[in-house]
Amino acid sequence: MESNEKIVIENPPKKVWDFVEKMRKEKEAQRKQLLDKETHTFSIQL
Amino acid sequence: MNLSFDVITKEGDKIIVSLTSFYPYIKELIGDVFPQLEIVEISIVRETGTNPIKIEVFGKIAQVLISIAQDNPNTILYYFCDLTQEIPNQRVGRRLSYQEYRNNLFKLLFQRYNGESQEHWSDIEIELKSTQMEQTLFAHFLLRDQHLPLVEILRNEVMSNFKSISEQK
Repeated sequence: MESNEKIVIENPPKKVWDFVEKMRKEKEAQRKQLLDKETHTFSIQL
Repeated sequence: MNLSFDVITKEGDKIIVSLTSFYPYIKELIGDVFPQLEIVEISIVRETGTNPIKIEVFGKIAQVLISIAQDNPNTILYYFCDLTQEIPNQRVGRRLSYQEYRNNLFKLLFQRYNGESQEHWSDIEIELKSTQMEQTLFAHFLLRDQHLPLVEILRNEVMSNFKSISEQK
């Protein structure tokens, strides 16, 4: 394994896609939670 | 790990970044090899504004992320390129999928960061492709060189014996 390598996985089993779909839904829920959160651990003003 | 921070740009746009521990199943998978290792997922969400986000802003985010990971030597970072949230201001004529756009941006960001940093971080890009579904998904693992065998373990798992991860999460 080299650093900055790209791993291409073609046509993985359906279970992989099911998992990805579940992950996508969780990510969407997480995104909403983040937007609802009023305070964060810290803030950076550029 | 469970923390979040916001970044307010000079233009007033607000970006929220979170770091949360990733799925226990993967921890179980790699536990024998790296018992102390924690996989932390990065999420980057725009809360307000539609201005194009300058590369310097992403550079700052990368700097903070790596700085947090440096303080936690058993941490590797994981990023799944979101495929739902729109990309405002994407240049006409360069209409990439949301996933592909984020993938390119993420790569660029950490290439730049590695160019400026003392400590080298490996960026392993995972591309999942389905010819039947005509879909391509991207994810990245950012890790120290000594943790590179982890990626091999995950690859073998996906290719040969993908368990029902969703049931074990």
